[in-house]
Amino acid sequence: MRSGRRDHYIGAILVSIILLNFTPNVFANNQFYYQFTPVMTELIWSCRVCDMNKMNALFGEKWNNAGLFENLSQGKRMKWFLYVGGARNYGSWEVYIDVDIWMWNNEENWGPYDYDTELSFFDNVSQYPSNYNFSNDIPFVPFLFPVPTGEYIGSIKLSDMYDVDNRVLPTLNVEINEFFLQPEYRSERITIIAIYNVDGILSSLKLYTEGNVVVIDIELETIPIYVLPATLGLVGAFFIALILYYKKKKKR
Amino acid sequence: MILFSLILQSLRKLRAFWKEKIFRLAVSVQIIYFSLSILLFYLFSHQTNDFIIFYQSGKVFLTDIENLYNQANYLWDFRYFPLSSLFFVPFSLIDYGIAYIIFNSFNLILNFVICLVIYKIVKLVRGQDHEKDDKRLILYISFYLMGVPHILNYIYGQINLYVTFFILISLLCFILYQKNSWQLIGSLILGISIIIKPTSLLLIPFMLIVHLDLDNRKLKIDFTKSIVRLIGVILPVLSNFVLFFVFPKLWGGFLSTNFTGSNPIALNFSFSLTKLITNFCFLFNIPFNQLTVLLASVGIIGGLGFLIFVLRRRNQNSILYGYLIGMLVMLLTYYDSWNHHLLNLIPLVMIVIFTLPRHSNLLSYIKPSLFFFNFFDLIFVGVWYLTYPIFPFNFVGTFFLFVTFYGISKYLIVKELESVKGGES
Repeated sequence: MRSGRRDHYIGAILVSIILLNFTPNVFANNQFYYQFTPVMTELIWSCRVCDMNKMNALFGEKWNNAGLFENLSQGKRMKWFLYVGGARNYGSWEVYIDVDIWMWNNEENWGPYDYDTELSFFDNVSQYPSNYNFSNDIPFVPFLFPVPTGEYIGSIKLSDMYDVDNRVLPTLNVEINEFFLQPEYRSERITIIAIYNVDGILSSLKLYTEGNVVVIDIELETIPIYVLPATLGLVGAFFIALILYYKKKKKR
Repeated sequence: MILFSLILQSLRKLRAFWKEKIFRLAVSVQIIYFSLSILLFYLFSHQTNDFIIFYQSGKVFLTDIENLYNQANYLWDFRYFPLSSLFFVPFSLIDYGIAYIIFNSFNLILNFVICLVIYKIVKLVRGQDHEKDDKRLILYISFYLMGVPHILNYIYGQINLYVTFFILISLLCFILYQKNSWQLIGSLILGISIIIKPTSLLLIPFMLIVHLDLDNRKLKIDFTKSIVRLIGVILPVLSNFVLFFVFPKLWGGFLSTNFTGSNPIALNFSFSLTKLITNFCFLFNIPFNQLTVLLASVGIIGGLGFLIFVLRRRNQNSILYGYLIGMLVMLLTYYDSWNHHLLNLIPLVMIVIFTLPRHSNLLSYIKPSLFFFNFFDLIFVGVWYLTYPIFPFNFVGTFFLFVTFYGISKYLIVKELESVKGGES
């Protein structure tokens, strides 16, 4: 009887192994760890501050001719639409997502998209070379990362100009020294602080010059619905508690 | 032999505490916190906690000390003095998971040792009008054990309890003994706590024995003891500078990570006044220099605290009040004051409560603050995540730090304690 039961177990294990061998795709998906969570989602960033003169002085007059800052100026907005992402194996796993991008403009009517592109990141962060730079052009940081973002950006061996602070909000600090942009010409020291939300979406990007003077301020337009009531609730509850405490103390 | 009898005495005392139901409950809560941390470590936070940084720092210290502050070696910055990583070298030699469990087991044991030290200090400084039995004291010790800041301290694998332990031991030395040799030992121990984590750095000025007697217009300074204390505390801190001297790259990394880099600018839920100011500047694009804000805060709040300390009208247990003011100044002024740092403050506040007049009105400032720090502060960390896009200010903790500061200052400098029922302690 015991032997019969053991045979059943062995049989079940063998069948499982065989089934596993015939269904590689189902389990293959578990071989990657990072992923893009916001899918079929519209993201809009707006530019609160853009000091054109300073940007021209720092990066030359063509700084907003291409890249993610194409056509950027104060008050303009940029829209992304994220499609369903996935993972693929080209020797090593990559996670990717398709994005339609409407570049910076003032129009309410967005019209057709300007670019249709694909963002991809290595799933195994050790695939990135040492001293890695996300880009050698402004803004030097991506607008979207896979999640868990803090872990992802903290695990890449980034170059000296990057400093990750992922203790609270995933944050990429970029320090661009005076000679980085033009080695023979001393420029100003530039700092970029890019903060990402839990979905890996850039929620705030600030570009500072010396003395922390803001030259560029971009923020994600969509704020979660709970933020305003939570803030009002916190401040309101604090003052009500203070008043009640004061009244109670006075009574005594 | 002495150690063995000390352990026996401690166990006997803990057995006496065990007779109280609240203490038994507190021990259960501690064990739950500890178990939760181990569970969460294996389920979620295996690679995302502070201990992994400490563990890694121990490895880097041995293999590539020049790059101790190079962030490429860590998930997030290593920020403490270089010698603190020496403390983690033994852990870094064993398996990471086992090291985490051992480290947190030490934390658990240390909590009970801290309780015994609190007990010992309170017995020495307790006011005459307080209850003679230990019931209220055990109640407060139990509150400490149940404290919510322990949760994150365990989960992160943080080192605050070691700092608290050394702060309390140095305090005990100063309270128990007047000899210069003990002043040196006490201050050396405080110096070790600063090496482990610089949270107690701003306690140094309050070790000076200086008192301006306003009534008799007399300045009293005990030069010898003050200098002995300063030498004792600064020696361990200076030993880091040997490393900075030998490896100059370390100094740049240390400065940039802690003071001048962009890390201190970024948004977070620290309840320090400095962070509230930098968060405000960040939100409204006001140009600022993070180091200037820090120095201004330390100058104003620290200066005020030191002035109050020097002008105090109550001289008894002055080192205790000095430590408390120093810790309040640190938490109010350094960029990052987190919930688990409150474990350095809470025991000091508890001890002070036992030195104040038993039915003092001052307790209406200090007791609510203590209960806020011990039980409610963590809630506001959660609330911060809900409000930060438009209101990135974890201000409630700051408020209670100021309330405590005000209460202690009032006790120390008011001439006639008219508002204090029960008068002097």
